[in-house]
Amino acid sequence: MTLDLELIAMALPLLATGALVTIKLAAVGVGVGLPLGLGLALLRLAPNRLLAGLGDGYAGLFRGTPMLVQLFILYYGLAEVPVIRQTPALWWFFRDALFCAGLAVVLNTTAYTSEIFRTALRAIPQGQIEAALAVGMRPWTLLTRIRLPLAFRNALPVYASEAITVVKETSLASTITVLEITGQAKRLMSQTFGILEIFALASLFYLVINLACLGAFAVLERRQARGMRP
Amino acid sequence: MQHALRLLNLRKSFGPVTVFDGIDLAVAPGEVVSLIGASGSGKSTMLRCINFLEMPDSGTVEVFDKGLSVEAGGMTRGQLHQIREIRKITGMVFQNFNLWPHRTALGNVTEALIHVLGQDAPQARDTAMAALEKVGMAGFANRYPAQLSGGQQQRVGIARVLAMRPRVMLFDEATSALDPELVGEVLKVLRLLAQEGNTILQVTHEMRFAREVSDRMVFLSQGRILQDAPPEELFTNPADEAVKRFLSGTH
Ligand SMILES: Nc1ncnc2c1ncn2[C@@H]1O[C@H](COP(=O)(O)OP(=O)(O)OP(=O)(O)O)[C@@H](O)[C@H]1O
Ligand SMILES: [Mg+2]
Repeated sequence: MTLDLELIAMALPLLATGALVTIKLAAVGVGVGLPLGLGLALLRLAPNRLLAGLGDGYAGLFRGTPMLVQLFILYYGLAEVPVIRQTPALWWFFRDALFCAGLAVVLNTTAYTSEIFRTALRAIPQGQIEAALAVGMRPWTLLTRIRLPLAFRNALPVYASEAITVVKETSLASTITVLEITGQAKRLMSQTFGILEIFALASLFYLVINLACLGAFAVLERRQARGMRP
Repeated sequence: MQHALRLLNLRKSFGPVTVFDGIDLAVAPGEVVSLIGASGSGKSTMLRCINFLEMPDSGTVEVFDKGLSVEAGGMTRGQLHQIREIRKITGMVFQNFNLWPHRTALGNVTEALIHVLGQDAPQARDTAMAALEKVGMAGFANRYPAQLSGGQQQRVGIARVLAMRPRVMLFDEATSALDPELVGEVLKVLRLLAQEGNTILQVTHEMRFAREVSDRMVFLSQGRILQDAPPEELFTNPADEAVKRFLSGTH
């Protein structure tokens, strides 16, 4: 097989446009999903049984159902609900495939992120918390100065995996007409016969994004590990 | 005379296990008091009730002019505030140091100065460096806990407490987790603090050290104080068979 340069020249700009959409979706997933996931982790650790139960329920629901099905519900399913069609703000949102995809990504990664940080928060040795309480720290100070920094250090390697999972999951958005990398590749596939080339190129785009992402996390990790190794 | 620390009718149980059922203890300003007793006799629990790391079932804790009486039932906002006030003027040194691993030695000491006492960074730094100097750790200010030996970590733990200028210091077996050759350097710091007139309530298994620095030694057994006396009296004239057995066992 020879490389079809003409095909590649045609595909590259389209896939690059798709990559921008992929990056946007993933950035929203990490940017919104990380704080929400942290919040959900804290909720799930709340002493209040009802609040913790609600948090657990949310995490269970989104971890226990496929994201593809969630996407279809958000984009195709909700469009059939009269209240949503009749409320301008809701309809403006749910009519848009990109918004629905972004929402699905956020809802999902929030659930997984909460699991990661719940574990990390619980792994903090009780003595380190007691040392903070014993000097008179308020709960908020304890959280921001001690618990969160320590949880981040514990969670970072696992969260890096979650972040690249988010990047890969955005490809599902192609099933609801969003033209991210996979969406563009599918469109190109129907116009040409270089299926292998096109998807190999698409893979390359994902790979570059994810390697950059992993690299960024590795730098963060190295910085945070400073001094923490024996 | 004003007490530095006073416990009145303190009760504490863990489920079915009663640790103590109405204990009273008073410590005068500048006094050094050592709590001794067999494993499980409730020494740590008593110390932890003073700064409310453990919530007493009932009773009163007074540290200088800050006091709190606990009765059955939940905590109110005002009581939580009182607890923090007591914690600010008591300093606790832990058996396992409990330094924060993400902060340097200096960071461990400045943390509460800045975020609890509200000092600005340069002031906190000066206070912290002075405290680290005092425990002989100024040269290690920028090391992380993982880069320090146990004895060094514990000295940072002591500096962290010292910098807060606590009015009562609580030491829970500050040297028990240390390798024997590291115990000395920490005892040296503790001895200095005792000689400087700090009010100290310590749990210790170092009988020789306790005898040397204590004004009083308090023997705890099954949640009761069996003897409360100056060291010489306790060693020469144990009030109870249990005290005698304990002392002979630790020599
Ligand atoms: N968190 C807890 N939950 C249940 N029981 C506890 C708890 N902490 C302590 N206890 C029990 O309370 C009793 C007193 O324990 P404490 O740790 O105060 O003893 P101690 O005198 O400090 O012993 P040691 O010399 O071994 O440190 C023991 O019977 C212990 O098992
Ligand atoms: Mg103990």
